[in-house]
Amino acid sequence: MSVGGAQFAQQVVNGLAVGSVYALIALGYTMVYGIIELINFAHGEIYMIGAYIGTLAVAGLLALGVPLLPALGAALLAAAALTSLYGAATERLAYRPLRGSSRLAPLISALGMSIFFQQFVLLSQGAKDKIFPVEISSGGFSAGAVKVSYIQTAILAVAACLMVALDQFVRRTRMGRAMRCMAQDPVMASLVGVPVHGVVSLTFLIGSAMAAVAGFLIALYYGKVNYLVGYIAGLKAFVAAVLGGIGNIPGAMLGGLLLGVVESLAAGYIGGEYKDVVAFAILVVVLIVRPAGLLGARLPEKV
Amino acid sequence: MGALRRRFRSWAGDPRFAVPGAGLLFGLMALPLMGPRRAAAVAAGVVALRLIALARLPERWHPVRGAGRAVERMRGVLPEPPPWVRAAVPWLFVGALAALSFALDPYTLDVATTAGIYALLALGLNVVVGMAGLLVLGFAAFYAVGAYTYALLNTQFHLGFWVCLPVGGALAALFGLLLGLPTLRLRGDYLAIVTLGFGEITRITLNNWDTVTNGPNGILGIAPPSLFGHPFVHPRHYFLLALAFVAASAFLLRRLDRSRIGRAWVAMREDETAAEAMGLPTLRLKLLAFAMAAFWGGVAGVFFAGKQLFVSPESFNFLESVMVLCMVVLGGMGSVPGAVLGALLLSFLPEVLRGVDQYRLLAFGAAMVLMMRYRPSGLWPEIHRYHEVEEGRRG
Amino acid sequence: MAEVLALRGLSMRFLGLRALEGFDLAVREGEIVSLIGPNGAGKTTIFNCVTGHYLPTGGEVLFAGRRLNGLPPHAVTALGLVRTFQNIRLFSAMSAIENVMVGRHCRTRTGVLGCLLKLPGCSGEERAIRGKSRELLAFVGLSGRERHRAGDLPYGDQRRLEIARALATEPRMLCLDEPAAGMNPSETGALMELIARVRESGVTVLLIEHHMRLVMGISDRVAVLDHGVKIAEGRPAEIQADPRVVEAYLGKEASGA
Ligand SMILES: Nc1ncnc2c1ncn2[C@@H]1O[C@H](COP(=O)(O)OP(=O)(O)OP(=O)(O)O)[C@@H](O)[C@H]1O
Ligand SMILES: [Mg+2]
Repeated sequence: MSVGGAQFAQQVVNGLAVGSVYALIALGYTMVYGIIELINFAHGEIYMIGAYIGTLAVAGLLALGVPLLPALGAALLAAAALTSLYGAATERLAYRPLRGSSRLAPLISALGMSIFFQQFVLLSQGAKDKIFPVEISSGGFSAGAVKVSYIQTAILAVAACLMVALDQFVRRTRMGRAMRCMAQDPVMASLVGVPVHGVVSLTFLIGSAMAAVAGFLIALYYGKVNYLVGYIAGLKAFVAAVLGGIGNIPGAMLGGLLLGVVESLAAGYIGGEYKDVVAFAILVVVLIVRPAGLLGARLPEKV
Repeated sequence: MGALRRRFRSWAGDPRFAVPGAGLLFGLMALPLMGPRRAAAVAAGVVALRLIALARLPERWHPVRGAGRAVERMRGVLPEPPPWVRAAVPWLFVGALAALSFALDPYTLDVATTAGIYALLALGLNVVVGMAGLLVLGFAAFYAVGAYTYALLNTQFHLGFWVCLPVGGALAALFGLLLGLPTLRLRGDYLAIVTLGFGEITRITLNNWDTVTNGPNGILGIAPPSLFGHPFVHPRHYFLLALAFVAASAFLLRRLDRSRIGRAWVAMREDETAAEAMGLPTLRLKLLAFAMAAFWGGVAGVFFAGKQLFVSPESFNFLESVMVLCMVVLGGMGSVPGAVLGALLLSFLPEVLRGVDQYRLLAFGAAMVLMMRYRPSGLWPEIHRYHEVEEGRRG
Repeated sequence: MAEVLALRGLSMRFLGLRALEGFDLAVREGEIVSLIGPNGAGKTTIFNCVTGHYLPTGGEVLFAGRRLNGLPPHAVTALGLVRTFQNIRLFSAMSAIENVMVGRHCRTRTGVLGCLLKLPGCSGEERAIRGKSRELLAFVGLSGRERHRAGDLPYGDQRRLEIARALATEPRMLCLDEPAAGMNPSETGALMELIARVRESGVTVLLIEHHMRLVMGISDRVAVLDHGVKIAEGRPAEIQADPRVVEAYLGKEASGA
């Protein structure tokens, strides 16, 4: 393989790893939007909280003498469980009481929650980076000049498993059917006896748990977290969700991966400072050219 | 399984279980981030709040609703004055403030001038968020455009404040149009995110485009404004200028609100489809609102640069946008006096509450949530918005 | 008399669903033409295609000789073709008169500067808007309700307010989507008389209605729609006697019996 080709392939691999994390976060946005048509601004912060809880849990478990791998697994589960409570509590306290009010109110409430969480973590954990307690060896597999680290492999594997599980859940289970039903027609869903509040809570629980997993994986990948990471990651994941078609679950996965790859290529070939600009440019282009996203089909709004 | 679920339901409904349950849950959530002692305090706090909620205290004791009612009562106490008095009161108030400025110390004047700049920003943002009902999250970007316009034109080309004022406003409006054109066709939610991203990009660009903006170090040595050949030297000069700007803006925007365009905005905010069907060019109306807001943001930016005599990207971060939005929300979306009230409250609050400064943003976040839940029309509601909101509550 | 509205082979599909197939209709100046058909037949879809809310997937809409396909709704309204909504869509937090005043927007001019500065022309125009809106409220019989909040008006009044708001745009043609829905018999009678007066004032009317007495009593012509296809068109008496119409409404056995 030529040097240029190898560099390209390496960027793609890096992009896929980060992109699958975007995809996990984007799923939360897209599921919530699909069901209650709300952009949950606090979702990026939920991801950040997941990263913190995971990091703190690993530190705690290691301090108790738990071996590394079980500690990582248990911390992952703990982060997902606790963070999903944050998501559900947000919905219960900040969004549910506003259903049926103006369109603007839940958006502003969501923004308020996002700022609240960010400040909450700043005040309780400080402004400094939180360092992940263990350095994961940088070894990995390599094919020619292209290297895939163990962490990247783990990220890809975990993300893929979660996405498959979510897909099966939405397709095959009763609750999954109830979700799809609500996404199509919430009024009709409530008329035929879908437990609307329960479904919304479940959606937030699942979306937040996935964001927490994403946060944990990224903390592992970069070896640190900061209270500000939720803001940019949330923005990116939103772009991913729009790119795939907001409200569309496979779309979020595709959008996340695509965004990760494009961004990684841009960082490799243009320069790192403007990496965030790329995501934004993608958003604007998608909104102009194909507002329904890659996988979304848009019907005219019923009048 | 079904029996278990039913039992769980009955527990969840029973305060004897639900109240400590909520405490436990929130304590558990707080535990990893805050540690055991503070998590216990959180749990206790949640239990206390739940108990207070169970006690069904009278409405006036409600921290948010009660405050709104209090403002309403204060407005209600004043008898309905004849129209010429109503028209005169704001001007008398402005005159009194101008007179008062001669008795105030420079520090207070400086704080008041900053409050005035925020009032300009809030008035501008209120046009797009409050009147037209479009959420804009990166408002600081327009503020930055205005500020850098003056900073650059003044330091590079020695253009004066009064020339840069309209230029800065117009340039910000132009940015608004360029940004609005692709996004305003779509549903309102996208606008929020796109403007958020735009705010971020503006800051990144200011930080990295060293040759023009001098990067994070910012631009120094901006000349102060002058009037009839007298340069501004005393904080009082700035204060009086800010007062004049705010009064004029409030006066003009209030007229706009009550004109055919203001009415069209209200209609569009209530039901965009119906508004379009009744012949309102909604895209143009949105662009207009967007450009107007950006213009005011730009003007505020020029003023800011003229007062600080120094600009750097830090002054235009996301939290600045959030703060202005919070002012609009607190005062009452769509309400011109509300925007000014909100700006004054939030600018003076940190002065009053010294020592708890680090909790300020936490409180802002919580306040936005609480206001939306308990008093979405704000402290000084605009009449249409008030109806809309009450209706949502009933429905 | 001249043709005001002509629909040629109008079709609308939503993904797989054919809501409308090759629909033709001509409406002449000063006529009252009604569209009837069972639920989901595609009546409202016709309105949505005509007024620019949907972009038809086939065929064309000609209004006073001008092709409307692709024009945004507000431009269609400005050309003189306006509609009401099946599910009432008033600006419910505004007062009744403000609703009508919004309708005047497209016939008034004052720009931003005029509004900001309240130039003399602006105040005059504002007074004219208010005057005209009062007249229209009186025209539909809502004189006493000016300052009532639109969302708090009784149902029948809301329907009439929607008509006043639409008339405020000075249309050549008014499209009414089930204006009698939810009205009691006396309100329906008043509505019928109102529609007749609208026509007398020189406005052509296209009416969607399920209320047969109203339709048959007032229309010059009736078109019947079923599953997106026009199955009959003619004078009310002809339509009432048409077996295909009875079948569409009641099913095969009923028409055979
Ligand atoms: N925006 C849309 N997206 C998808 N399907 C639509 C849309 N608008 C209309 N339809 C479908 O088109 C068909 C015709 O609907 P339409 O509203 O025109 O019926 P209608 O004749 O007005 O019925 P009704 O008497 O109940 O008002 C229906 O099957 C409806 O579900
Ligand atoms: Mg219909």
